[in-house]
Amino acid sequence: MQRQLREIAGPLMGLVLIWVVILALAPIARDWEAFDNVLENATGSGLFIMCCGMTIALIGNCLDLSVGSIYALVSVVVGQLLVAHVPFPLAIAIALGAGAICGIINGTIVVVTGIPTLIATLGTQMAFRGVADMWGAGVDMEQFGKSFDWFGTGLPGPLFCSVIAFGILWFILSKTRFGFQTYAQGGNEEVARLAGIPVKRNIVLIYMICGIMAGLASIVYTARVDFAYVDRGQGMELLAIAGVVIGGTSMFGGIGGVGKTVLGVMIYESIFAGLIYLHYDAFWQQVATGVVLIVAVWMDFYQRRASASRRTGVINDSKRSLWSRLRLAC
Amino acid sequence: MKRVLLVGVALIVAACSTSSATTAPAATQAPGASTAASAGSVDLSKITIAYSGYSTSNTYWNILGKAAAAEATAKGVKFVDVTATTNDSGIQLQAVNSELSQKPSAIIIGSVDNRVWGDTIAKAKAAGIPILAVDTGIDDPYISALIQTDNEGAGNQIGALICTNTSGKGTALVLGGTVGAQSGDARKKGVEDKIKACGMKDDGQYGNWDSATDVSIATAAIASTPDLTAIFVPHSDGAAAVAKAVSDKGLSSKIGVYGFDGSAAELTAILNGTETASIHQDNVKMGQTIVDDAITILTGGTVDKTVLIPPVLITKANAATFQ
Repeated sequence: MQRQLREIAGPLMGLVLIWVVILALAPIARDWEAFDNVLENATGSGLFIMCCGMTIALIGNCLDLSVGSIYALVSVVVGQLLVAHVPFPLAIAIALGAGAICGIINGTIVVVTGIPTLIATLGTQMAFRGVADMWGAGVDMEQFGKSFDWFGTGLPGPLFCSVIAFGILWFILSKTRFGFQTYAQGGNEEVARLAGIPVKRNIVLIYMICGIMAGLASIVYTARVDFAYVDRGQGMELLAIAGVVIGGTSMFGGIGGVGKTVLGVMIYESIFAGLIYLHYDAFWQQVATGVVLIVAVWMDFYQRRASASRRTGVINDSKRSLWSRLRLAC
Repeated sequence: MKRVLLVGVALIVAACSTSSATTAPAATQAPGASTAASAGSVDLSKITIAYSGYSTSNTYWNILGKAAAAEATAKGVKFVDVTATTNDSGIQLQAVNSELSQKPSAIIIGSVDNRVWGDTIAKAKAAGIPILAVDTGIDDPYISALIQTDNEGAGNQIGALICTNTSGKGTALVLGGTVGAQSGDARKKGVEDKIKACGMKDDGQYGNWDSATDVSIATAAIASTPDLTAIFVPHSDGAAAVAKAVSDKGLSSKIGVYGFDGSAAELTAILNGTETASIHQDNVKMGQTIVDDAITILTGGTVDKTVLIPPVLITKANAATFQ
């Protein structure tokens, strides 16, 4: 417990600091509605759910750039099914299945061809969006009914879906053999393979979970706005990666957790909303998020070097304080 | 065998040179100005019009592209659609440059970013290929024709309606598209000019043409601006999404949502009372007119440099007629 708290101390302090600044400078944000708005946007846009999928992907060292296109494709699938009067639970199940299939395709390509994950998922990013366009461009898909809309309306529906996504991911990562193996192969794939971990099977499973989560995120947002549209999710993969990395999950695999992702997404959404509460232009949100992202990756990189030197017993630069390193550099 | 090959190559070269002589306008003369050719002497079936719209995934642009293609077919000219699937200016630029190397007779561009075309226009000018713009203007004297909705005028109409509905009181959140995108900027400016003139406070932001960003900005503004009375979103997907978000908060009677393009989702929202108004752009007429203009230029005629198609305000009173 103490170790876990130590691990999330950085992002947690960051989040608290952001809110201290917002509350000090923007009295309007002292209302519950302001915080409720941050929660609503984090869950209702589907970003948090997508980040849950991206968390396991990054821990397992399986970068997925296709999640934005899966988001668009699933929106079209669920929209087409609902306008065809397919009962909404079945439509949701099929749409999640479509997300899972996309993930399996990603995993299979990576495992069978050995293509780097970045290139493989960049390719499927284009292909999935093309399929979404083929099925959904120019098609009117709206008015899905109150039962379906509940999943995206206000805070309860999106929060319910987000908690389910969080619970599933937390259980997988902390309570299953597959979760343990994901950390192991993310840390060092070759060692994991030599230790008898079924790395290839796990890669397919990781991408499948990531695809399902992108699909669920899309369903929540489609329900939130009550219409489906093909032109969605563009650039969302980068937001998802940013949210996960800001929370403290490593870009380099093997380290992270879905609890950290909660903090990462909240930091991202708090910066976004906070700057609007302070009446700054939206551009500043991009600048601030970019800076926070760089700091988060730098801290991850710094910690890794420090722990590597501890293991080898070598005293190097990373052991010294930042101040003494600066003095040495001068 | 060599002789047969040589004869074949010679025939192909001859065919190509005949084709380019027929379809390309004379030298680098200003496109649209009178040329030696006349409509009667040009074989329309040898004209190829290339078209690149905003993106294939955008409903508004799909309708425009289909109208252009249908008009080209009706007039008997070849129509090549090189619209990319995403609204990425770099990809659009590549697609148009690739098509340019195929030497089409004319190119119609519905620009994602109107600032990227300098090099393409220089190449087209050198090859004598006229370029026409649709919906979004490209700031270059070589552009033969521009057909677009009067975006600023449409923004003025929305702004005036906001002033009437709010009696000039409160704050309006006025969203733009991406910074520098001509059509989005013109819409935003049109609305802002009017609301400032009637004494409203202006909260200007940019939503990057993304509905999720629009919703996030709008809900944050609702939470932080107690006197918010109006939200303008410059595109259809975002307007319908924001209207739903405002409705979910039970604020539709207090905050009016104003959109653009008047898609099916927007029309439903207007009829339901969750969206106040939108703008109908006659994208079918735009698609037809730009193809007609291209043919007129290629056959030696002249066209107006800029044609602004009047926007139509959609409110609850007339929304049903657009469905």
